[in-house]
Amino acid sequence: MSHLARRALITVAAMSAVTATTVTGTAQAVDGDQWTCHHASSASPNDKGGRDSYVTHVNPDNGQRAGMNFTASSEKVLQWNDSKDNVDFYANFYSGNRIVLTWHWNMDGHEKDLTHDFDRPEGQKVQLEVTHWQPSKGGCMDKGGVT
Amino acid sequence: MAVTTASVVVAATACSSGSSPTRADRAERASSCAPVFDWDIARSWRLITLDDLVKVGRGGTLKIKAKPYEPLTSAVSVTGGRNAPTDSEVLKALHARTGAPLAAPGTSTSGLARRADVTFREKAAEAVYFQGLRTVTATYRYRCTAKGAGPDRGTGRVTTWDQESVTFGLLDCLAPRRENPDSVPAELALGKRCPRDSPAALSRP
Repeated sequence: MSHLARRALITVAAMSAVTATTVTGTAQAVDGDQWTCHHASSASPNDKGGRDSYVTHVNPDNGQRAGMNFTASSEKVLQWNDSKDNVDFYANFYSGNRIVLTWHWNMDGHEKDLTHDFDRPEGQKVQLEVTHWQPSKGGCMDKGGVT
Repeated sequence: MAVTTASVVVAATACSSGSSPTRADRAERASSCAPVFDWDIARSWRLITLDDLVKVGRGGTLKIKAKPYEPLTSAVSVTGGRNAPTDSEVLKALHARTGAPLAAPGTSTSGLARRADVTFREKAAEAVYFQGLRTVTATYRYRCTAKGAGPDRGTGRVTTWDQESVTFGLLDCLAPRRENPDSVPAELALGKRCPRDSPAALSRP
């Protein structure tokens, strides 16, 4: 997925029934700052009860970014890393208020995008999380997805 | 399994050469055929990755191996002479017919294996990791419509897959059906890896 397409997707998500968007970091970043976090979720247009969500983790120094998108209707997971850094991706699945299953993937810098239909039972809450390999960069999470 | 028949016209630019190019040379080039295709297309699901069943304790982490399962390589074949359609023309026509993004010739499903770790936080599991996809297998006849093209007829076969169909998941043979994935690849994996007397197998519809 290209930068433009990805940004368009994020913009659409951000404009429709967004439940939460958090941005951390400063406008005038210095090297070593935490990466900023952009995330949101919205009701799926095609999957009753499902909710789409995304997280985007951005290096404030150079704008490089990595992120993960969840689409409820096809249970599609997109992972992408347009930064030069190694990044971890997590998907936590809930039963009620408890995490029952945690998936973990890793991507090297500028690794090819990965898109898969993620086969899970319906109605499970999904928490997406993207973290830089350096914990000091913070992390980026969204808890709003539902399969 | 769906079977359809259709004709597709592919516009092709003329390409002349003093010698007969090899198939590899011309795989990506347009032929001088301007082919019209008749298709017989079949789609079916298959597993491409299937790990052995692994017992994981509560709080334990499963290291997914993502072992390729009966790897498949995308391929296009064609009969005919130097004016036969190229692989690119054939695949383009098949894409136009199916609407699916198709894997390019020479691509192997073994390259799609995806590793991950999964932590079971609340209970033990007998886990089976799988990946599957929807294959597209097609036989075709073509005829050239360009003036002076020849031989003007031939046949061929395509084996490929819908790149957007790649599905992955995790079965827990200890869990009932309603708590497990329900896709076709999940069903295939369940039948091959979960014991017949496991809760997952016993609760199959």
